Amino acid sequence: MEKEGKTVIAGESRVLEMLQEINKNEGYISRERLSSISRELGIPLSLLYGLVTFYNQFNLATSGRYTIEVCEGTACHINKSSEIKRAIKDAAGISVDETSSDGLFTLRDVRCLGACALAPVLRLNKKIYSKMTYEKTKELIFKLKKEAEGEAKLK
Amino acid sequence: MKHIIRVCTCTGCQANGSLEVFEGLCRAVSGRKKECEGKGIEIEVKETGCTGLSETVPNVLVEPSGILYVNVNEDKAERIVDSVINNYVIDEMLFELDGKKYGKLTDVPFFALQERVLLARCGYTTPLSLSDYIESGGFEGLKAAVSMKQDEIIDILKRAKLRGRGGAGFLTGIKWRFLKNAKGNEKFLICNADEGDPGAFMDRSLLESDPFAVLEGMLIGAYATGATRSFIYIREEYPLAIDKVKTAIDILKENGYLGNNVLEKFSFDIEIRKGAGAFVCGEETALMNSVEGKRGQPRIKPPFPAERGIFGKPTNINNVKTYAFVPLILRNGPEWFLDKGNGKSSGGTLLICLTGKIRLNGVVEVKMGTALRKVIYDIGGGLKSGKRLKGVQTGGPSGGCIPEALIDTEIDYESMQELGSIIGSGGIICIDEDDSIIDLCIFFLDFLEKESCGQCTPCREGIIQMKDLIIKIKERKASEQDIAMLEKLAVYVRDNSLCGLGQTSPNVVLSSLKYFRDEFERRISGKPVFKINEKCTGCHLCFLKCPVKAINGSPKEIHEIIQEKCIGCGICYDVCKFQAIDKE
Repeated sequence: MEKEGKTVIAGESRVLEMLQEINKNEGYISRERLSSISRELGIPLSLLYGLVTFYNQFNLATSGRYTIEVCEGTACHINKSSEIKRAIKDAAGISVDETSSDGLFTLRDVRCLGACALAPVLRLNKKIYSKMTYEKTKELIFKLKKEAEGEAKLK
Repeated sequence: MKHIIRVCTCTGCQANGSLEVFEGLCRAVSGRKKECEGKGIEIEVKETGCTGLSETVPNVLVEPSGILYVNVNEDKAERIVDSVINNYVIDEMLFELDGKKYGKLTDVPFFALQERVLLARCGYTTPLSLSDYIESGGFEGLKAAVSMKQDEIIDILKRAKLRGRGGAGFLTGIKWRFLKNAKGNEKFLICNADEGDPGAFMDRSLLESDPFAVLEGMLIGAYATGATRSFIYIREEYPLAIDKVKTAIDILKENGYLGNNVLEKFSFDIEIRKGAGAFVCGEETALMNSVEGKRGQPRIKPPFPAERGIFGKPTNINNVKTYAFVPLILRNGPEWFLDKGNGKSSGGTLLICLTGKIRLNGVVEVKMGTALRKVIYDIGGGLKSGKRLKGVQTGGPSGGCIPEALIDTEIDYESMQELGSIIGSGGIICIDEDDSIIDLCIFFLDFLEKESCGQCTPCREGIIQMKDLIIKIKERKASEQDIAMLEKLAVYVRDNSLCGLGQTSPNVVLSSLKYFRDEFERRISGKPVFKINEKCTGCHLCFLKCPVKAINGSPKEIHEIIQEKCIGCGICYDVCKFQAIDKE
């Protein structure tokens, strides 16, 4: 680590950034990816697995076309984020960490998106939807389902 | 005459369509360019940081008139531009509270009653405009600092009594002195922007609205302590804040404020690191491990970061708000800062995120020592839908619940601690009579169970056991001894956990037991469980008599008891004339 008195930040200390990059570009981190990073950086696979399971950000499985993140912060909880989840269960048939059978939706919990004043919120493919209700959530999901059906017909 | 129309484009405002409003305004202005030229009017539409009044976003501020328009959407953009050109005020788009309309932003009580120094630029300048920043006093603090000796700067911070705004509240001047005196050829500075407390988002707001201020604070820190390198650790849940800070760093580099030979005095670099979604990384040593590419588990102290911090090098770590205060203190002097406090251990103002059942959600800034009542009722407008305030939860998962009876308390480090809570990162979540304290405890313990790093047993196991005990109480299976056990366990976890987050994790339980004990005691077992049978005629009498509104049903239909709410008092059983309620 020490080189002419200046700390060189490389290798192991860059591993989180590498994993974040893969997670962002590929949507998840595959077993093969983990193995190749392990060989490349000389970090035991078990340690890498420990890392990716420690941090909430990383996915170890593929996600649906739309990832719905429901905020589980206090303000959202108080303002009934449970209703958002109920709507998603009813409209897409999934609970947290599940992907719908048509491969369209994946539901995830997220720890506070920092939009507490607009609670309860959800994030769908990086866009935040504010002051969500059961009805609004259902509408959103049906709209996306319809769009997907329309596309399928065109093909 | 020149007019500026300002629209905030922070994460929250974007979520409510402020970008579309911004574009709509730009289109409207360019569509009427000729007319403006004819009348000698110039209109510029500018992106700004957030005013903090999140309740009514997107908000639009017109200058120089100072008129605030709220709940604006794309369709209203044309009218706003027309009102500027033809010099009138659109009444129905003004901010309204209790039947009164307010024209100017500065007249709205939400703003008028604040003491905005850290938020002074928010809403008035363009976040990534270096010229806006400099025109509004930017770098004056840094310039004052580099004309001083290191010890002078540190002394000023100590005299100003700047306590860390991240939660622990350590005196910044002392921390900086530790690093300055630390031995080593390479020292690090870290800005903790891993704002993981649910219910607090002022760090995000500040980073998106005034990123240069935070970076200037870091530059002063580097000069005062001799640090040459630094990291700003921002949670990945804040992509826009990350983008803004990244651009701000690039701009500073291009303009000679970062890199080698800053103001011909020192060298300093700032790198961004993204969090990966772990609450515990808000703890300073866990954060350092995370930057080093490890699991974010706290380290044992001592050694303290100033001796052996990141990569084993002397390190100082402060919160976003703490750094942002530094340039202001250097610019205005320690007395000015002290004057913003209430004469106790900390000077300065306090940033608060008001959320929950409050009428006006948002970010506010008040003098240290302002009463909770003033913040909730005078600034926040009281509760939504006129319900009774039950209490406030402060300080996130490390804080506690304070009952309504104590809302005349002045908010400062000492009084909040006396009440068994903390200021923490500054989140205040209002709960009303419909909210169950038991459910809130379960919510926080569930959060903490998932976020505990798992390293030490008291926190890892204690939180689960506390949660199980409270669920047992909720389900009315617990005895008196279980409540005593819960209390004992909470004290044990507090006294024996390794890191600050573990030690504060039982605060929510302890404060709830202190102030809302009857809610726990009402549910201990031995009290009967009531159920409604098919003899119910829907007379609605039990519905009306239930003291905790635990009965659901419309007249003439079979009613139902919500068991989670029922306290087993038996009033419904007593009043029912049709033997429609069974007692088990």
